[in-house]
Amino acid sequence: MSQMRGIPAALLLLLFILAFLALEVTHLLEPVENVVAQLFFPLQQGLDSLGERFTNAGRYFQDLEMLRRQNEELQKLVDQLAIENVRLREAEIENITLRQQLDFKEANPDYQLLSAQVIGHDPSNLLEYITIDRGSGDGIAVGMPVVTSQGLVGRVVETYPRSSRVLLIIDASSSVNALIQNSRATGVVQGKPGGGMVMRYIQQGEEVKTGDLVLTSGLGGNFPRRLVIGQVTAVRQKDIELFQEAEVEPTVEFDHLEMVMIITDFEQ
Amino acid sequence: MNPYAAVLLLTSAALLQSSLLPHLSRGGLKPDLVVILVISWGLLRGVREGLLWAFIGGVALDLLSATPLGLSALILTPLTLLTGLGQKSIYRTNILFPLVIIFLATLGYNLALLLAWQFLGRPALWGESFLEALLPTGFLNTLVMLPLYPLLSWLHRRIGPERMEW
Repeated sequence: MSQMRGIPAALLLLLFILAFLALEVTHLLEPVENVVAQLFFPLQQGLDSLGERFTNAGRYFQDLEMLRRQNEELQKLVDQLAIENVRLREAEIENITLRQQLDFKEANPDYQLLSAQVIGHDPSNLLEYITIDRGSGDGIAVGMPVVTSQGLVGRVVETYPRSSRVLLIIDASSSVNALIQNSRATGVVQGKPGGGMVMRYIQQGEEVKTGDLVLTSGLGGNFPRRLVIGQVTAVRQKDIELFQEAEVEPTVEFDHLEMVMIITDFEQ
Repeated sequence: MNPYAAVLLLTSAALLQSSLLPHLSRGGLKPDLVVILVISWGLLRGVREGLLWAFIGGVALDLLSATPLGLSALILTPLTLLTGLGQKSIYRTNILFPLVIIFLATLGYNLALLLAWQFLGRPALWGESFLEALLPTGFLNTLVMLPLYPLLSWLHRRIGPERMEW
């Protein structure tokens, strides 16, 4: 019975729809449609824009997460490459140093050389000593000369089982018997505070020029002969004095000393 | 400060001074990090802690140096006593006093070292040493003290009153 009661209502609704469609087909509803469209347009636009924003925001967060992940991965890659780069650069520098040492070894076949790494400097600015990673356990003994491919570094003054202390030729207490390569004038190269060197006791009348190379003379037996010490940068000569003096710039870069060689078979 | 922490700190500073700082230095000069720490701590915390730091720092320096063991400690101890005896309150509040003190302490420390070495038979070369090493080091230490002292001052405030127990 109740189902029967709904039929007229449905028929009425159908009729209403048909009438609506008829009005639509005949364009009679157009003014009403226009008014409604005018009313809904901004609302629709706003809602659409809001929806778009929600979609964009979702995408933004997705992108952000993806970018963050990508960034982390790229950062890791950059870090790895940076470490790799440093390692390769270090290997390159070490390779150059070792090649220079090999050249020195080949140029001086008479010397028995042992490579060592510089592991420390004297903490005082008044002392010029270095510590190397070779000691009495490696056959190092006090008095052994220490060189690089650039020239004379100093000599071993203290040994421990696994390390040694080296007195640099730029230390104020260091004296090396030397000669000027060109004129064969002899003298003594002494260290100065601040890292320089001066060649003293050069006979008056001996020719000493700026740029002359200073070598070990071998006199006194503390160092082998013909090791490069440095280059003359200035000459001080006064007729009233007994000797001349020359400022000597070391060929070894003591500020950047990393690897050295010890002449282990030198007998004083 | 806990003396064990002081040992760790001063030994690390001495190691830095003898290994890393020479590579960063220009013209072969490096700051006397240990001396700066010892003198600063003496100024901030008073003579008692300062003397302990002087002993630890001095021994740490001598272990890494060609100087006879104990020489630096021997020089740093009276130096800390002298600088630490002053008015702590003035030092703590004014940065200028510690800067002057560290400059003078650097000169005092290095001059005493030179004197000691001369007694031990090493050429001192007073004039050249003073101009080429002592004065530049004095200025360098003063420069390093500028950021280091406020840092130590902050540490001193964090630690609180002086207390030493082994």
